[in-house]
Order: sequence, then structure tokens, then C-alpha cells
Amino acid sequence: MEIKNILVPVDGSEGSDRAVAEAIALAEACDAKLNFLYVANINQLAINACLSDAILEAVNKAGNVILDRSMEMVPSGIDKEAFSETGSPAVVILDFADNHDTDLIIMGSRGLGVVKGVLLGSVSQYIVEQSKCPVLVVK
Amino acid sequence: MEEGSRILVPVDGSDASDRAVEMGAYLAQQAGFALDLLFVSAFDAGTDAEDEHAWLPSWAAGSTKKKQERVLGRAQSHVPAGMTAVCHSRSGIPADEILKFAEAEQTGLIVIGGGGVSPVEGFLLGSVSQDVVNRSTTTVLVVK
Ligand SMILES: Nc1ncnc2c1ncn2[C@@H]1O[C@H](COP(=O)(O)OP(=O)(O)O)[C@@H](O)[C@H]1O
Ligand SMILES: [Mg+2]
Repeated sequence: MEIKNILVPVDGSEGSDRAVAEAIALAEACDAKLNFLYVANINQLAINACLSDAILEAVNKAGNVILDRSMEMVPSGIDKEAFSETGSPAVVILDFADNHDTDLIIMGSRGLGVVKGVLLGSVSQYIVEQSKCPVLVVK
Repeated sequence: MEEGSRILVPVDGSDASDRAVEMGAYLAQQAGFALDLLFVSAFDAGTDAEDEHAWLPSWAAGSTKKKQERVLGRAQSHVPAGMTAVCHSRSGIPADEILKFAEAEQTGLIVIGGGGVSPVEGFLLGSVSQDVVNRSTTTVLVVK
């Protein structure tokens, strides 16, 4: 049993910030690398029909702000990398986990969603059900 | 996880729960946390007594204690030598007892097996882990 690569999907929410903090503690304990992943939900954006360069640029910028903030939380001495992808978050996160030697996914129980009273968000729900690797859901 | 908190691994004797024990033990070791193993049986071992008034059929009551020992013994065998885990058993509805235990015992992380169907009588069916992940106020790690 060894944990060398931890995937942390981040959406900039308070829940994902807590996941980042927990991931840092575990990476420190296990001497593991942290891979942060932000997925721009293009399906949702595509509803607006036209994805102009300006919109794409704004989306990229928002993702980079979120990733930068996560990276900055990591103390020096812990290996880390930031990734940005587009698509349906849950699907892209699982694909990424498969292709990046992931030993553990650490994510928030809630994200930016507005549904009140729900303890587990839809992306987390899907990943807990479908993931082949272990998933830690931070409450 | 907070300093001084404990890792809880609910066990049911399935392969997925064995993997959860290994993961829980590994993290406990790396992070310096204590480890609790918990088996929840549907029947209370107290009804094992050869009490004529026991309402349970003998096949159900008599097997509870043995099953407890078998499941917790099997879980223990997946804890690396040199590490101690504290064994617990409760009776009741598995998800309810797991969540109750976690709230009462300073559990900082629940590590639970998920996905696979239990070869023993369906305790850690996907439904128990799903229920625990959904309702828990404690952080949960689901091992596949
Ligand atoms: N677009 C995304 N990119 C990366 N990670 C995400 C994304 N959306 C959600 N997540 C991850 O999933 C967690 C739970 O979010 P989610 O399931 O979407 O809850 P909600 O329904 O409350 O938005 C977040 O804390 C984050 O870790
Ligand atoms: Mg969301």
C-alpha cells in the first residue's frame, strides 16, 4: 500500500478549498505528489451557443485563478502540478485519474452548486460511484 | 483531520472491507493516528444466552458472536504487524451505527469499502457506503 499521486479536482468553492487543505496534510504524511485539476464545464457554456475567443479566454482565466490559489496553499517541499481541462467535470476527472497513475482522489462534498440541504454534490456523487481508485470526500 | 483524532474502518468480512483496513492502517501509520475497526451485526450478541425467552431463532442468535469474532479477526489480519487496532462491535442498522460511532468517538476519517457486493450477507453492499458518504458529517474515504 502506497500513495504517491493524489488528484485534487478544484472548482474554487469553499468545499474544494477544504479538500485542498486535507490533501496537503495527507501528501505531507505520505510524501505524495498533488495534481490539481480544474475542469471548465464547456457543455454548460455551450448553451450560450457561440464560444467566442473572448469567452474562452475568460473561462481559462477563471480556471487559472482557481488553480493558482490551490498551488499557493502548498508548502514548499511537496511536489505539485496544475492541470486545466474542458468538458463534463465528472467524466473528465475520472478520465484524468485513469491516465495519471492516481492512487487517491480527494474532493469536496459540495461545490459551487446552489442546491441547499444536500450533503453530497452531483460531481462527488458520480465519482464516488464510478471511480476505480479510492475517493476521499471531505465534509 | 485534527490532531488526536482517529481513523474508523467499518468491516464486514468482504474483500472490499479488507482493502479498506489496509488503506486505513496505512494512513494511520503515515499520519500517526489511532485505528478503530467496527463490525455491526443485525442481532445483539446478548441474545446468544440460552434464554428460553430469547425471541430470536437459535440459528440467528447463536451465530452472532462467532461471526463477530470471525469478521473482526479477519480484519485484524490485514493490519500490519507492529500496529494496533482497537476492535468494536455494535448491533443495529449498519450505516446508523457507523455514523453514531463516528460522532461519539472522535473519528476524523471513516475509511469504508465500496462498490463490491459482500460475499457474506450484504453488510457493506454499495448501499451502506453510499448511505455513509451521503449522511456523514465526518470525512469519508471510499476504497474500491
Ligand atoms: N468543474 C470542476 N472542476 C474540478 N473539480 C470540480 C468541478 N466541479 C466540482 N468539482 C469537485 O467536486 C466537488 C463537489 O462539487 P459538486 O459535486 O459539483 O457539488 P455541488 O453540486 O454542490 O456543486 C468540489 O468540491 C470539487 O472538489
Ligand atoms: Mg458543482
